[in-house]
Amino acid sequence: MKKHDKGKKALKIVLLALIIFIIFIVQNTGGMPNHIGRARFFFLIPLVICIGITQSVAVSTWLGLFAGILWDCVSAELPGFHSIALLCFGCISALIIEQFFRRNIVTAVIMCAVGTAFYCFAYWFFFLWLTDVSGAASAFLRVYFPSILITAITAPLFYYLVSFVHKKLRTN
Amino acid sequence: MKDFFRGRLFKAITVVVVIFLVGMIIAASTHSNTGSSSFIGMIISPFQKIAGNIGNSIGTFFSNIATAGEKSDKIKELEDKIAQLESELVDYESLKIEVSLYKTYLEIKEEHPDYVFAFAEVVGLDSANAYGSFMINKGSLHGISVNDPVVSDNYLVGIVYRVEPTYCVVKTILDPSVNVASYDIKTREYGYTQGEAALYPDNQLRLSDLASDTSISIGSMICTSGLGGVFPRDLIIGKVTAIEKPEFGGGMTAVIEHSLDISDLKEVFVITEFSGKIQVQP
Repeated sequence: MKKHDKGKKALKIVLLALIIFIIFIVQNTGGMPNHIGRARFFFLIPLVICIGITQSVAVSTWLGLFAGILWDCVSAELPGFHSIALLCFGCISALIIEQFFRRNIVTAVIMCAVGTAFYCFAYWFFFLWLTDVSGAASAFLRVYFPSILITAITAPLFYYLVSFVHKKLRTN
Repeated sequence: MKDFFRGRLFKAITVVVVIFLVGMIIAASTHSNTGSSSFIGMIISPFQKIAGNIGNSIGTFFSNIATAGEKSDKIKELEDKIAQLESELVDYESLKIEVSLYKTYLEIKEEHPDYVFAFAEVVGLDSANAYGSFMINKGSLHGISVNDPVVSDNYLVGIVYRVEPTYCVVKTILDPSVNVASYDIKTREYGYTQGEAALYPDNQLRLSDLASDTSISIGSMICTSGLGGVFPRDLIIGKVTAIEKPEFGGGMTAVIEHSLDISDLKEVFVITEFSGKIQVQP
């Protein structure tokens, strides 16, 4: 790869990491627009998936891991869960686009919705259902299911944002 | 796809996932933390505090614009009232200022001389947690340890769940995994409080293990009992709003409304030492 292209690629990765950091702050800080009632915006999930849709497997995997590590720092549950989850989202979304689907907004929205649903179910299952927390079913219906819907709506925003960065810093 | 599974990237991903899984298992069995979260948390907590202040300022700005007209009439009305109160109740205003100063520092040594506090600000929250767990900007370097009670004024708001050197994560008292030994200050009847998913939206929790002929009534004040040595005695939890008989027998339960809006907290105190504290092994 030419030196100029290497510099562009490095800059793109740094920029995406910075976007992940900013979105993490917005998602996990009080006073920020990160919830509607009890439903939460899990911004990092569609962001990582959209990075996977537009970037290579390697880049999206490690950026997913970075996002997951940040989220684990503020998590009230077992550290490592979000790291593994977002690493897998980054890797799998990149592989799916590479092998099966076309890269477009519809694919992005569907993959973000499915990814968020999978995350919410896994989180609810491991940390509420398996630990026999009272009212677990109610928590899923009142908190996590609405969160899936409102998070999926933000997919186009992150798809166009990541696509913009990718186009401006595209390498040959 | 086959090339991917044979390549170095897949092997690297497998190694990373195994490391994190092992870390999770170790963390689950020993209730310790991964080293990376300590280091990264030190970096991110100042950014979260700045972001929180920005968010609050923006909210206040728009709120002020929306209510500007009403506020000027209200201010005039209040100014007239204050002038009247100041002329009639000078001594009372002096006492209010003195109590306000005590509350500002929250070292209520006259009531609890055995308490040792650490003041902290709420800088972040766990978006995935359904019961409002939050992050504060003090940690083990400030004397805080796991299971330390977290209070605001004299109200119990939660318990320290995870500690890093410069920050810690607090689970609220409304979380179903947090049980608090408590009692009615009037009837001296004992029980324990626990959060419930159905009660959380109304800032309520359940008091369980009451006798079937309980004398607790609506309006009763519930406080921590101090039993178990995790929470000091007489921290306020809330007031009883309903008494319920369970469907399938057993003792009565009561619904308690917590006295504070935990989601709106900006500052808290962590009680790091108190008389009767038993250090619970995780």
